[in-house]
Amino acid sequence: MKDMLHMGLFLFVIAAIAGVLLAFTESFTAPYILENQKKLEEQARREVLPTAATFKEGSFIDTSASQTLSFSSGFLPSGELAGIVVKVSPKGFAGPIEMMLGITGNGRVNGFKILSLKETPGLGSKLTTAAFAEPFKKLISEVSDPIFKVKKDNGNVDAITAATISSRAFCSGVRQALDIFHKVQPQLPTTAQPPLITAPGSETTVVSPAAAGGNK
Amino acid sequence: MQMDELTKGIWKENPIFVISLGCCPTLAVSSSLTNGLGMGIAVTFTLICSNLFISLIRNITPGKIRIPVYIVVIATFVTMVDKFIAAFSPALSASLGIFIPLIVVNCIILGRAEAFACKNGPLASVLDAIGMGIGFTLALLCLAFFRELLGEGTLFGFPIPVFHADPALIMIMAPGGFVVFGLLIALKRFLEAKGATK
Repeated sequence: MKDMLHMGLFLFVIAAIAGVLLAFTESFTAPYILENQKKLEEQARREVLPTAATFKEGSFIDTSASQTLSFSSGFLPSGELAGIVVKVSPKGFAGPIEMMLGITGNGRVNGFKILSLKETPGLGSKLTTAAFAEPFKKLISEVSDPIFKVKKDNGNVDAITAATISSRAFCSGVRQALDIFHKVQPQLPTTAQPPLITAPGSETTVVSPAAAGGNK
Repeated sequence: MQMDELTKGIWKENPIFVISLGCCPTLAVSSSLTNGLGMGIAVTFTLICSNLFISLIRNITPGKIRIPVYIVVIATFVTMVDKFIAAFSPALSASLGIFIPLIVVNCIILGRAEAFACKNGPLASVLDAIGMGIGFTLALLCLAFFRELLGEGTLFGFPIPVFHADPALIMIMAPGGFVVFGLLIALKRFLEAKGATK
């Protein structure tokens, strides 16, 4: 009995010390980790929609699918709408491919960035390399209304050799993003009102279909 | 005597090539030199902290619950390492991903706690940890050197001429890891056998 009490107490003390150490670590590192994530997101947004000077978080309640779509709208230095940035995560070969897309106000894909993927190294993982990105960039800048499907599926996108599933997933991500754009387009604010002076990302506006009527 | 505790982990009792502990993370992260180095440092740090702490409490730890105690100690240090890497080196954190938290169950650390730190003083335990850590890191770097060079044609991410032209992808995938691992163990045994006959 005494032995058991001793063991329990010992484990308790060790766990308590561990808890205190972890609490200190957490409170010390949490702000840095949060900042890193924000910085990454901010960087990615600037990359996919370089013309935008400020960003504003927004969300849209999709009544048909009863889900909330979140996006951020980017505004030109003049205050006009530059486009929106959306995050999608289509299902790839080995897990979701998280990607961010910038779509201009007139519905053109402006840029993309793969945030994370678990595709096969050397095959599907080539989505992040110039070998895939360059032809795709050329496609979106030169073709006026490209079909975002791989060439095998009668689209315009050059698939990666031996990684058709990953390439298809990428294309479906692009289509998803465009779909979101078309859904939120009617509700998009054309200008940043009130003019943004605050830091980007600090404000959140909820654009619901009901509230959108007042916006017009 | 004390120096021996430090050096044995590097060659004679190398945790990867001789004791063959912790092979899972070894094969997983040795596909590039950067990852190998990051993982090596993370493991070494955890190993030093856990060996020191476990050695300090070795005389008061009840034998029956020593394993749970070790795991709490190790998990604490690993979580701290994980958080600090995420805070100050997000790029490394992103590339090592799940393998940092998995250091908790890395056999090298629990193995050294059970085989060494619980029977030896703090100084010897820290030396043992440093030696084992260096041995683990060097082993990872050896593996990663060949795998990254042959599989990607790069070293630390920099393209190497000739190799970069047409890399053998399989080397950075799991099978290539096993192949290089086996060949390196064979090479080490060969060198030792040669040294013994002389």
